Amino acid sequence: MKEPPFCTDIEFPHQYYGVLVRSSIQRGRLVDIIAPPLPDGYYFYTATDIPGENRISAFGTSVPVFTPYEINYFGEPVGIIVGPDLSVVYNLVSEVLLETEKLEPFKFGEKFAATQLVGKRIIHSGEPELEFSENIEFESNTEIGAYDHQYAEPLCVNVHIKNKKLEICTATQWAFHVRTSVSAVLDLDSSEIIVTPTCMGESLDGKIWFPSLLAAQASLAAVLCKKPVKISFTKQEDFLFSGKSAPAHIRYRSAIAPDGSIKALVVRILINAGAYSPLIDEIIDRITIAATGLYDVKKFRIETYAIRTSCPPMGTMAGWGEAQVLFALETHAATIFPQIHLTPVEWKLFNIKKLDPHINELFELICTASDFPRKHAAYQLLSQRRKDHRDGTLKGIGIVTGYQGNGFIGKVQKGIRYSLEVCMETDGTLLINLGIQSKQIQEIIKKTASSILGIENNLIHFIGLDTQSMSETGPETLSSNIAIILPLVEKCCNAIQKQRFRQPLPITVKRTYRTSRTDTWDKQTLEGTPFLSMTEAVCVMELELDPSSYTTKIIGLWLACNAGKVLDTNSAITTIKKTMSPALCRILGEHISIQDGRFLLKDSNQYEVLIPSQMPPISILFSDSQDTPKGLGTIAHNLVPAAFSSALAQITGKRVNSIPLNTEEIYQIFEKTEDNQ
Amino acid sequence: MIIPFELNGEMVYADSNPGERLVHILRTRFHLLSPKESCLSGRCGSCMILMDGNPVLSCILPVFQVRNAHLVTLESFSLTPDYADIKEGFENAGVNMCGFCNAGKIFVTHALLNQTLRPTTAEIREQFSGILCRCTTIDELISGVKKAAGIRRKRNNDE
Repeated sequence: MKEPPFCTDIEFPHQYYGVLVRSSIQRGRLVDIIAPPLPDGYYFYTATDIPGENRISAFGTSVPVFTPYEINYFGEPVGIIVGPDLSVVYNLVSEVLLETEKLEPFKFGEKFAATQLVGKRIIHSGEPELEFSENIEFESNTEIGAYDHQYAEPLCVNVHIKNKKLEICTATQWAFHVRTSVSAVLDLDSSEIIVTPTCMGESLDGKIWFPSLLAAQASLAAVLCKKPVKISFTKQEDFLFSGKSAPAHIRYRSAIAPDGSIKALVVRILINAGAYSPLIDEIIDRITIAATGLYDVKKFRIETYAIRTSCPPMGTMAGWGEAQVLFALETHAATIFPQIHLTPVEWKLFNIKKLDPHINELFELICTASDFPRKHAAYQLLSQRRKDHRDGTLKGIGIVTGYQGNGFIGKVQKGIRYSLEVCMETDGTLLINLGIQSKQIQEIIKKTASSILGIENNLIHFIGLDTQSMSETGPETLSSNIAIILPLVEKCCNAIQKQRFRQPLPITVKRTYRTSRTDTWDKQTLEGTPFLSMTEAVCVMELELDPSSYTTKIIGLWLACNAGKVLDTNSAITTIKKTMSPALCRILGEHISIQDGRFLLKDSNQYEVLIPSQMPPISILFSDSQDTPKGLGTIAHNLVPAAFSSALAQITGKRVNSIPLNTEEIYQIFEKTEDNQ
Repeated sequence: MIIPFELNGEMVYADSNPGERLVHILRTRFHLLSPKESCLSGRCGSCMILMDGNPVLSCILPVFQVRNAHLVTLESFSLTPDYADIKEGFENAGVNMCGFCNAGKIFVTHALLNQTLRPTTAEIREQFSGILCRCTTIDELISGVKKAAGIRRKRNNDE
């Protein structure tokens, strides 16, 4: 398959450029739009120009293309100005006057109006409150901030008319959603629309629905002005107005028996869903399910509330909520075992559900590789003997467990279609009509097809370039390529192999994924398996803190996981290692303040992202499993931040209450420790 | 203001505001798309080009500074044997490249190999300290640079 170009590199003849006109208040009503006089060849389109539906729908919720009346966040698009000269377009946009009526913005916090509630889950088992009087009670509050994707290429879409069809070029994780969305907005048959995915780079799950919104805005302008229209965000615009991961406040209360067993768990989770959050249903489910992690908890009450606020849209980013709650759970756990005189490994193995027969193996692997038990004991002893924080080496080591859920949870999965067509040509080449860009996944698929059909890798080609030549698939997320697409490839190849020497070539086989998992999951009791598969993992981080500058240095990072049958070890290791950097950034670097409902430009300019050369030594270990291959794309996001905070907790003796952390906050944690001594 | 400079072996003249970012001029006037406009603050390395043989960040370079300089972008550099060494080394090491920051990765490797054909791990880490790449790992890059150095050594010996 030819390498797709980058969207920002694509220019069509007579190219027009579009810039969005955005609301200048946080919440209110749009009374009037006063546009400046437009020069010839420049156009301004608003909600009234939309021929179809003024919304993008995904997973049961929707986002307006242009707000017609209600303003729900600062920077909400109210229209688009297009024209041939980008600098003129920017000037025109700055001259648009919006007459508005301000309303009190919706805020994020414990107190919220009933109208702010966009979703909730309350699940319980037994009577957990009764356990608190008879056991040791632990309580913690964790605040998790927003997280940006920081793509290399800012968000961009370019739309033009080619052979009487609308061609949309954009980097998207879900090309068919772009097509469906634009079709509804323009009231155009989807056969009239071709979506050509451009090079995506690392998506970090920020390109699931947002490109559809941008595509609808550009397509509207392109159809009305009959010119190719390109919207290309600047880095700042991307930072200020694209979706972020939903911030959360998570409160844990646990009742722990003197022997260390978890008797009860009460969890309250508040999610800032922003003004719009099309993926919120899935986030709520995943965050609720992950609240008990891998632990065996018989009595629990988990309450999750997603709250609408007057903030820009909040999405998932890698981890889909699991990352936030597993961080809160593991940092809560880090305060428990020192008080019940068990080592972290003993406590975890004592309380973990023994669903996965490989879990003990994971602990053995990682303890051997990292020398965790010895180091933990040594650092604990050093910490106890230390007179003050400048006395001796400040080192700590933390161990955490968790998982990555692969595939969507049943309800969402049912509404998404995944299909695949594979053809063996007369010359023996195998054509797979997929548009997967990941080289690692391509290699794994090739290996699988090659082993089933006994053909060379170089005879296998991916031919999905656009929505006309690709099989219809759902979003490329939650390791769907491994959890869904790979089994489909196996099915197609097995079917071809059966027919191969009985029927003449070419042979074309089409298979569609059907969910059949509804009976395996009880969401009230958390029994069963909610996902297609779960990648269980254990992570260890060793940390050193400079007592003068309060900067941290990661000495070592180990991650052991049950990835099922590992088809390509190098690819699997690379997949995990490359996600370590954004995972570490979640805790260390990426600060986003939300002030009066808006992200701040200064954060965009100062946003710290770890670069490959700053990464510490990393060891990846796999259990000896022959299970179906499992996803690895977000396992680092789900575990690494918690491993960092556990290691820091050993150094400081205090748990980390919020992420991301900067040097100032680490200093504050330390000073509190000193004050208490 | 008209600014003369040599671009990929040809003398060119850019009529522009002297403070304009070089990357913007390269992309829009000369349609050279290998330098990318990303961070625009010199932090990611995606806009890298060679200026008089040294890697520079064209997003923070005002165009007046390139008067009479010799500029090479990846479009031209990719036709050279030096590029072929690096490409082969990276491919052999399985360096995963989406392509967005290729210019940065390639040019810092080229600069390092010009200094030494036996780069140490520490030197490679240091050299890549200005490259923000989301889709590869430092281990792959270290391996890729060392393999490229080996290929360059072999080519030099052969010559």
